[in-house]
Formats: sequence, C-alpha cells, structure tokens
Amino acid sequence: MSEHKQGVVDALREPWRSMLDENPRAVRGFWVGSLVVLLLLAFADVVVHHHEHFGIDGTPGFYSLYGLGACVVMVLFSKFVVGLVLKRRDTYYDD
Amino acid sequence: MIEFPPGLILVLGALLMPVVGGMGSRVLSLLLPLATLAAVWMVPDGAHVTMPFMGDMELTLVQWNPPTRVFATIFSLMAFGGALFAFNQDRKIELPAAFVYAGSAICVTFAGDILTLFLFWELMAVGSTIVVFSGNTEAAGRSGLRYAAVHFLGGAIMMAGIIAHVFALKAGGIEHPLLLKYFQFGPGGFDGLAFNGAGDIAPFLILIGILINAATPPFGSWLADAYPEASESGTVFLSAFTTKTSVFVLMLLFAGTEVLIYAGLMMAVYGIVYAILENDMRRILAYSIVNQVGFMVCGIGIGTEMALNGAAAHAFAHIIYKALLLMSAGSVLYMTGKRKCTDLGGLYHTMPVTMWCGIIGALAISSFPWTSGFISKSMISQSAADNHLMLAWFVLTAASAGVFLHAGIKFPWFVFFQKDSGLRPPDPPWNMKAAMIFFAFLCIALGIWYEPLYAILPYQNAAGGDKLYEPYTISHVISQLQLLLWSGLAFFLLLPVLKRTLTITLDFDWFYRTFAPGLWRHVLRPIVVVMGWTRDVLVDESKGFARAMTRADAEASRLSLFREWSLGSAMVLITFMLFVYLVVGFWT
Repeated sequence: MSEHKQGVVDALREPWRSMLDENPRAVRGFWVGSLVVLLLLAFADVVVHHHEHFGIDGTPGFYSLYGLGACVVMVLFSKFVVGLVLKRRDTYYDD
Repeated sequence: MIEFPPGLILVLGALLMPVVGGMGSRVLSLLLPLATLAAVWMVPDGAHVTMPFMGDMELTLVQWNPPTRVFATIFSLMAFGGALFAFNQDRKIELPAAFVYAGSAICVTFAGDILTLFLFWELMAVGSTIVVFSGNTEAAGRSGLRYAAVHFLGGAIMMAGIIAHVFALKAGGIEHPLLLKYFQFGPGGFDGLAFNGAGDIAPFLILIGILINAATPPFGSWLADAYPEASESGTVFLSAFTTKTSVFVLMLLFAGTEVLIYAGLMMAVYGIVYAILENDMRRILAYSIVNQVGFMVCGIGIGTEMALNGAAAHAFAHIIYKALLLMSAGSVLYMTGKRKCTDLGGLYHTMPVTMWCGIIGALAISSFPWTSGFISKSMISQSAADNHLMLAWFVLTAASAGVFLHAGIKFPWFVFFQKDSGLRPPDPPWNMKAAMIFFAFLCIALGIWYEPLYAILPYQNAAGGDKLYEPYTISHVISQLQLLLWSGLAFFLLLPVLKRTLTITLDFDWFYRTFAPGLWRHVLRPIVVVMGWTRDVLVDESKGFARAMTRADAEASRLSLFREWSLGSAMVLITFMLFVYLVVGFWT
C-alpha cells in the first residue's frame, strides 16, 4: 500500500521536477499557497450564501466540488473514451 | 456624415497597400483600421443606404442592426491590434488579404438585407483563404484548399436557402418576391425564416450555411485544420472574424431558436475534449474558439434580451483575449519555430512579457473576476439559470470549469513552465510586444470598467430600465473563483494523465481527408476501371469482330480518307435497296 502511495506522489511530482530542481521553495510556496486558498474558498460558503436555481446549486461547497468533479470527468472521458478511439500519431495525414 | 459602409475603407485601402509598398504601406496598415473605427462611430443613427443591383433588385449597404455597433467596433479594434502585431512581417499579400477579410466582416454587420450580407460573406471567405495560404508552407496550401472548399460549400448552401426562400414566397402567391422588402432584416422584413412547416427548407439551409462558418460540429473541423497552419500573425486575424460574424448573423436571424441551445452546448464540450487531447499549442487555442463560440451560440438559443446581450458582450471580450492568446503563442512560434507542447516548456526564463500577456489572456478566457471574460460570460449562464434551463446551466458551468483546465492552465503550463526544454529565446520584437500589452490591458480594463461595453450592447432595455446587469456580486465572484480554482486543482492532480503525446485526434475532416480519397482509391476507382474494361470489350472488341466479318469494308476504312465516303455509300446503297424493294412491292 505504502509503495503504491509513493508511486502516486512520485507521479504527481514528476511534471514539476525541472522546476523543483531549479527553485524548490517557489514550487512549495505555490502549492501551499494554492491549497490554503482552495480551502478558504471552499469554506467561504459558510458565510456567503449562493442563490439557488436548481436545488443543489445553493448547497455549501457545490461550486468547488462541481468544478473539480466536472474536470475529472471531462479529462478521463477525453483520455480514455474519445482518445482511445480517435487518437492517431501526428504524422497520420502526412503518410 | 458617413454614407457608405465603413468596412469598405479597409477593403479598398487593402488594395492600395501593395501599390504604396514599403514603409508607407506599414503606416497605412495602422491608420486604416483606426479610420474604419472612426467611420463606424460616425455613421448616423438612422442611416439607410441602398443601391440598385442587377436591374430590379436593391442592396442595403448600410443599416444599424441591433448588434451592429458592438461587432463593428470590435472588428475594427481587432484589425488594428492584428496589424500592430503583424507590423514587422514582410509577407506582401497576408495583411491586405486580412484587411479585405476584416473589412468585409464589418460590411456584414452593416448589411441591411440577406443578399448584401451574402456578398460580403463570400468576400470574407476569399480574404481568409488567402490569409491561410500566406502561411506559405505546403501544409498551409493544402489546408487552405480544404478551407476554401468548405466555405464555398457553406456559401452555396446559404445561397440555396435564399433561393428556396424566393420560391417559397412565389408559391405563397407573392408576385414580386425579389423586392427588397422581402430580404431586408428587421421587423416585417426577412421573416420567412420562422421554421414554419416541413415544406419550407429555406431556414434550414440558411442555418446550416451559417453553422458551417460558426464551426459547429460536425461542420466545424475546418477551423482546427486551417487556423493553426496560417502564419503567426495570420492566425491572430483568422481567430476573430469568421466565427464571430456567424454569431452576429445567428443573433440577427435565429435568436431564440431552441436547437441552438443544444448546438452551443455541444460545441462547448467538444472544444474542451479535443483541446485536452491536443499537443499543438495553436490547435489547442483553435479548439477553444469552438468552445467559446459554443457559449455564444447557446446564449442566442436562449434568446432572451439578456442572453443576447451576453452573447454579444462575450463575442467582444472573446475576440480580444483569444487574439491575445494567439499572439502569445504566435510570439513563441516566431521566436522558437516550434509549436508542439512536447517541444516547448520553461520559456518563463526568457520570455516574461509573452508569458504574462499569455497568462492574462488565459485568465480572461477562463472568466476570472476582474477580467473581460467574467463580465460577459456570466450573463449567458445567468440567463440559463433565470429561464430554468437546467441542462444548459449545468453544462455551461461544467464547461466554464473546463475552459480553465484546457486553455487557462494547459496553454501557459505546457508552453512557459513544466519541463525545461532548454530553449532560451528572448521576447519578440517591439511591435508584437506592444500589440500583446495593448490587448492584455483591454482584457483587464474591460473587466473593471465594463460600463462602456454594456452601453453599446444590442438590447438596452433588457433589465426593464434598470442597470443592464451587475456582474460583481459577492456570491458571483466567490462561486466563480471556487469553480475555477478547484478545476485548477483537478488539472494538477491529473497531470500524469495529461502528459503530452505526439498525437492528433481525428475529427470530421477525416471523412474528406482520408475516407473519401480512400473510397475513391479502393472502391470507386476500381469499379470505374472495370466498367472501362467492360466498355472496351463490348464496344471496341465487337467493332473488331464486325471488321473481321466484313473484311472488304475494313480494308477500305484503313484509309481514313475513304471512311466518310464508305459510310455515305452504305447509306446510298441501303436507300437504293429500299427503293428497289418498294418498286418491286408496288409492281407485284
């Protein structure tokens, strides 16, 4: 389990590697700052009331979770449904 | 007093540019758009200019349609920004062609009837095709041909719709269906476009003709095919006019047509899905044009005055930030010669101006508060909510989150950050930087001082005399930030999945790029060849057979001099025999 977990963290770090090598403090600062902002925003709903039009859109935390969820669904759908069927090498039309 | 279509300043001025040449033509390229902008604003309110056409018909060259002011203004501004960005390039034809294209788009917004609109619509296709060709590569040439074919087909379909409309009028008992009053826009004019009855195909044809230009799937693959093949400055021009002119025409003719809601939603999602999979930075941005136009088309489908205002405002804001994004991408291409995300990255080291302008464009397209996208797009979503269009609202909201993902973060991340590609190009020449800074300024300025834009929106009484729309409520700002930043988190969590690959994603253009040629090569052509053989066997071989049977005749015909004569003599012979037969028959 812990090995698998390590794999996930590594996979998440991988795209940042060259920037981590160059300026690890900036990258960490970006991540910590972003996470704080995200949490503050999510909990802002305790104070800010959203006018609801369709029932669930007034629920606290709706926009945060909907944004996250919609994007995860769209990426996975693109990558593993559309991509699987329609993806070709980029020289496809040159051949 | 301006008594001619302001767009003609650009169209005719463009023809002058190659004659002037050199520095004069460069200065002209900055002055013409400004003169056009001034002319647009100097057209008097009640202007109505007509001219005779083909005998008994009339064209309305100048008329204020409800959305004219907002579209004509942004088209002129865009021509200026584009010309500034293209100031240092020395392709002779590209800029004049782009001006013909932009000028005829402005003429479309002032057209008072469908025929005038059609004429300038076709001129746009000509101008834009030349802009694609000016990419000056073999790929651009081929792509330009496909682009031209699609657009002239679209034009033909639209013309067929207009003609069908004439026939429908005639069938309805109208004696002179070619009179101007049956073609002009506005109340009581071109009203044959209600979808009334299955027999009337005119509105369907015209709608399809417009949707082809709006890049609605499945007619829309020309956009991602052609735009990224143009030059770095050419793509900036191309991104602005064709699809937004279609938005203008849809708003004029098809506001409130329900099918457009679904067409728009489909475009919004399609753009995201294809952009997520794409590796070419300018093609990512091309797909996101389709996504953004989807928002506008959906707003037009909703059709309330607020939704239409939202669509018009969004077109205005979109042209600026999309041009800005493509200028940023164009600068990268200009300085590095590379356009694939897999080849780029780490450019923040040496291209700070390009990066910051790209980021501002990215924030604006994502509709961050205090950028131009926020004050326009939220009007469309709000109209969907106010009209209880649940599906539309949920899809639009998901698509808003998706915009940040596929354009807002993906473009800057893969081009300017991510892995270090080792490339260290400086920022581009001054004029490119100036154009980017100008448009970046507009993106933010519009987000803060939105009143001047709201003041020229088509329907000033949408809110019943109150303030047109208030974008900045606490709930709006907070919910938008939540939606966007949490979708940003999704991007970084899914980065391992989003790793760029050297791939493209097949689109509808596969049918005319691979399927149709394949069908010809492997099925139709063999059939034709076999049919040819069959014909040879049946006709030629049987001729040879006949010749063998009548050897004497064949010898005569070997000398072609006698061929005609021998045929004549056969006729004479047959006639003589018939005569003999007749005489003999008569005698007995």
